[in-house]
Amino acid sequence: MVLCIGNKSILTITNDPHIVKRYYFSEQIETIVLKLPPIIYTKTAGDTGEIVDNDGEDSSKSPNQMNQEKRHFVFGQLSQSEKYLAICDNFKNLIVYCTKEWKVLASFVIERKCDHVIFNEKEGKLIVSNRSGWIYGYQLVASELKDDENGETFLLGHNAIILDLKLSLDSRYLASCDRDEKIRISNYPNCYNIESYCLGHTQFVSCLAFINEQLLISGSGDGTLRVWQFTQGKELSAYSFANDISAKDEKVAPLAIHSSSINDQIIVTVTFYNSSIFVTYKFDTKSNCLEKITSTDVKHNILYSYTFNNQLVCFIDDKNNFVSCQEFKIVNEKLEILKIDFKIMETLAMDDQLVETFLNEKRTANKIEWLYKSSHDHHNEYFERKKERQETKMVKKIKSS
Amino acid sequence: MATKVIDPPQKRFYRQRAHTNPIADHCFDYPIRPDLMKWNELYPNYDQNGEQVEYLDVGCGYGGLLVTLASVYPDKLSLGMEIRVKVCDYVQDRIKSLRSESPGKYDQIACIRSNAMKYLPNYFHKGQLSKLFFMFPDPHFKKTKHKWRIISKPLLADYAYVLKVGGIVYFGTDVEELYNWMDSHFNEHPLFKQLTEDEISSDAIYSKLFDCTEEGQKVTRAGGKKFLAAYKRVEDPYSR
Repeated sequence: MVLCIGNKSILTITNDPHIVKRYYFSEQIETIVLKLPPIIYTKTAGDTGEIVDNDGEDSSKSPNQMNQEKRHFVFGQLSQSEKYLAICDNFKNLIVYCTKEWKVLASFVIERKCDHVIFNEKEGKLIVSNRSGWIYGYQLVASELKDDENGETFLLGHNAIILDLKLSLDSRYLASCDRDEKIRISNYPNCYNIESYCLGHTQFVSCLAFINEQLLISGSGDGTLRVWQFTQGKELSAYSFANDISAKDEKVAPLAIHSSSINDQIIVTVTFYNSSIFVTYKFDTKSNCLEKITSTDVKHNILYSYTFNNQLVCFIDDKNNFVSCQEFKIVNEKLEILKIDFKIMETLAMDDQLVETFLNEKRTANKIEWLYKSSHDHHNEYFERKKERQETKMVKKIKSS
Repeated sequence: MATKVIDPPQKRFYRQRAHTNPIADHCFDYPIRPDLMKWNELYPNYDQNGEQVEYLDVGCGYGGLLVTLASVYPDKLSLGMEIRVKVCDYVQDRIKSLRSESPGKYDQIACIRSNAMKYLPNYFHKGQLSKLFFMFPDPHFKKTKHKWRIISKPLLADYAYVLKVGGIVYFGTDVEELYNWMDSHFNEHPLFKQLTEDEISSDAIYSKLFDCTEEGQKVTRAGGKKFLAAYKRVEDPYSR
């Protein structure tokens, strides 16, 4: 089962049979039986020199072996306007639907499982990152293609797993961050031209958010949120969040950063892996620093969060009540956070199987312990032996003289 | 005061197998960002406000090219990067010995142990380098190991990032298949353009590249083939 969340509706896609259920916030529910294009069998990863991590993924499976597998969906993403839905199946077929008449707009076979899929501003292109740290662009409108193109363009590659991917507000830059502490700012769509690197984090960079046309905020396993003048790769401020979420022994890293402007104030809300607390900050445009306004505890670990219209929706690790919604308001120059209820969420929550599948999936996906790097030094031995060798030589010299 | 001349290092103490996994987590000491690099620990008389490192030999091996760079470009700072601990240690000892033997002549070359695939932007600012060398890189013949090659589609963007416009990248090998691989990658990248015959003939280092590296001398002795090319970093042809 795949859950896709948009500003107007939430989609669930079940596998057997392939049915999309669309729950509008206006409380209308739509059911669609998906017509799937035939399976295109996968290319073999590694042919292009791509970095393949050894997670034992099925790149070696023959079409015959795969034939016996049932087709199921592993990933889904709605476009901003919700006009399009991109879904990826276990055969690494990436299919894009028009959500109006549920026609297939385009379909591609991708090399590796995708981690992040984003639509560009005009929703004519898809940007897809895969498990190997490579990012590809896909052209959705076939009429804009030249004859020799299949719609796929290699955009860029990281040397480590990509943890977040965001397009700048003006779509001129693509920001990508990885396990190797790096944030890369590439020109878009000419991503081969790196605009800058934002370097300063000392652990994996888990999420990114553009706040305006100059500034980017990043969150990392090193316990900080940093603000960047991103085209220069210049760090403007670093904020240590550990005290805001009363982190116990557990490793806590930012899950998502949401930035919105309310009454000319930039409000930044951050949710965290392994934490039930989200923290709301005010971004001070003079000092470029974050100032904490408040921490809010939703009682169960937050697994997924998103914002729209100054509302924050958190999916939390609680079977009985897995969605928590809050509204942000500024009253008398003070920020107020009000809990709100969406009927549609209650309807969603009643589907036990959906809740169970979703929670399990997110719990697994949100394991971050392995992202932390520990340093180990196995070269001391060599240098000790060298020292010994040199000392013996000295002794010999002294003896012989 | 007469300084004691340090004996040159003996290779037999520094041998190490040729292949290293460049993807794995290794223990590396690297600056978080270029401003924090302590170049003065590598280069005597390093001036923070003066010349920056401009030439980089990626996978410098036993340092033959670095030593040549010191004499061909005595006023430029050159750095060798080598991923193998013992080999890097050999080059460092070699430079120490050379410096003690001819004071002042080898102060502008140094070698560090690092992984160029991962850490170039940690050491160098955008457009800081004017020459980048890849001489006899590990061919990683097996298809599954192609991802470990130092020249690959994603990495070219990083090389273009550290090179200034007009800067030159050189690559050479005795393996024809690897040469074709490297050449086609540079050829397809919009930020690189092959050097013309004229540009090559006026280049001070191009003709010396094979004879100065240890691997190149080995190939000459064995009578093997050598393949060499150079590309220039150009402005991005993309316009909005």
